[in-house]
Amino acid sequence: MLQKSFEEAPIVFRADPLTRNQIEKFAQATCSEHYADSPLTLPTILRAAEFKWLERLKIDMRELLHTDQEYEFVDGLREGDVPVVYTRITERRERRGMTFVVLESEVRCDERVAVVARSSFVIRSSSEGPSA
Amino acid sequence: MNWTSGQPLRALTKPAITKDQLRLYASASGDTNPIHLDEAFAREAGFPSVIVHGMLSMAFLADHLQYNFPPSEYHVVKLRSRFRKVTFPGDVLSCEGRVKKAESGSLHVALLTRNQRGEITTEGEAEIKKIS
Repeated sequence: MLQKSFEEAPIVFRADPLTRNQIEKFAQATCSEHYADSPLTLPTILRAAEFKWLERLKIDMRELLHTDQEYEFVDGLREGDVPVVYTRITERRERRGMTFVVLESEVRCDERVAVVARSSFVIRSSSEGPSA
Repeated sequence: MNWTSGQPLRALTKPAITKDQLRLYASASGDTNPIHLDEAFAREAGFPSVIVHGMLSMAFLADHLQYNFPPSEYHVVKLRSRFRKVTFPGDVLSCEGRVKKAESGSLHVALLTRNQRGEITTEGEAEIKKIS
């Protein structure tokens, strides 16, 4: 069950510098072969603040479905970048016994915005089966 | 290459997804939700087995996009995915797409992944710009 109260302030995640090894490991895991500096969905590795939000909201991971993901690539990510991620809740609504949550993350590297990510989740009621 | 509205993209089929790949993806991405790794946990959540990370399907779409629109020639401005159907280890995903709109160096592209049973599992859209 989602708690009623939550903070509006972002959770901030300061990552270590991106390494060639991280990029290549991600590319191997995703069978990515056609990227330039890094696979487009590499920002996935910077979701620590999202997971902290889900933990803070005391969401049962068995009830969580990731339904939508969006990325805006302003400047992309490359080896040596030192990302700082600011993640906020931008939407939370209840419908038909389910809770819909949107988390928005701004990934900054040296103060420039590199990527904006929006992750949408549905938290199913524990009495319902999987929706997909 | 001059893309026109309605033009299909070259399809791209990825190798069958394995549980080892899910472990590698979890390690590379930091998404260690047990629903992707732990059979008992997945069954408690109502699934017959562990399920594939939706973001792995999105990574396939991203690679498919850059297979058709090489990063040396095109900048991906935005990429969005909607996870429509759960994917399981053993499934084979093929990526398809078409140009929805082409105008003055800017392209809007529709994407999808389809499993070996012909079911659409992920739908996506991208906005890309030709690098001048």
